[in-house]
Amino acid sequence: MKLLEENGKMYGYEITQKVKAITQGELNITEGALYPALHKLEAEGLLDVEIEKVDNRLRKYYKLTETGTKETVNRLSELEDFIRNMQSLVNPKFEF
Amino acid sequence: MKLTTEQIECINQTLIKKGIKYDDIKIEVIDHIASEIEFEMETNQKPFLEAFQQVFDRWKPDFELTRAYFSLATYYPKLARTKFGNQLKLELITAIAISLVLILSFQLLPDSNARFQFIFWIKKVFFYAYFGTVGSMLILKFLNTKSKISSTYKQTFDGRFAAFIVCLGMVFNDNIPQEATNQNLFVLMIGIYMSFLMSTIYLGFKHYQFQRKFFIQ
Repeated sequence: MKLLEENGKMYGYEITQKVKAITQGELNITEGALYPALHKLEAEGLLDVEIEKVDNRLRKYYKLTETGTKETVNRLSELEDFIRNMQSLVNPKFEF
Repeated sequence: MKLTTEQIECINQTLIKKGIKYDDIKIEVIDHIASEIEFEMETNQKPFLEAFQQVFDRWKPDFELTRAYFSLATYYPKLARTKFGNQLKLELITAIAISLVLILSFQLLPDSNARFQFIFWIKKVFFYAYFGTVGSMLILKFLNTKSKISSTYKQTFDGRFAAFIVCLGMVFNDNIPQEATNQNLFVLMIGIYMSFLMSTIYLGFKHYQFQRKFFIQ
């Protein structure tokens, strides 16, 4: 969702390549995980779909809806809180 | 190196053989596989057939046939089944929410006369909702028959026509509110049917929307 927020609209293959590039190959999203997640977000009304003809074939682009944009902010904030909590559990700073 | 129309058609036919026949899923899978094949041909200098085989081997688990929800004989590729599953989950959540609201409202009523009136009115609302839905379904069906586009939405929408006969008993039997021995169960069923009507219209509309986006190209 964050990638879509930054890039406007993206297609499946582009998302997998972008994630691979950002994480320098550490994280590899499989199609079996990506498309069910995109379909779920679409069913929840957080993503909208656009279809364009590119190089002899049709390409399905995903973009955030208005609700999706608001939800991205909420989910990112929840994720940041979660990471902060995990970090404080893994590296506790004891105060005396 | 961009794939030719014939090579794209080869991917398309292979996907149909593997059970990916719904256009809403197929177009993105064709594009993804074609992009991967192009990458292999460009970067690793592989011929089309070798790259094609390699990419399809990697996708094999996603095309694995899995049994459809609530069916013993229908099987879908994993990728399609998860999409049907998402839709089903959404429908179940809506059905539970509507039924809970109706049951709670029913329980909060002060006496049996008010409860009888409640059942009488929800049955009336259901009557109009039912015929409104059937009318909308026929309109959507007519709009959707103009094309041969298939989608996961259309598959579920078409399957709903037969199921609508089940509701007919409740719509035409005037004695149901008076004779209903378990009124809570009746209210619960109306809630489930209401969400069923709503989701059917939603599915038909989603297919119509997809079809329009498809044809703009």
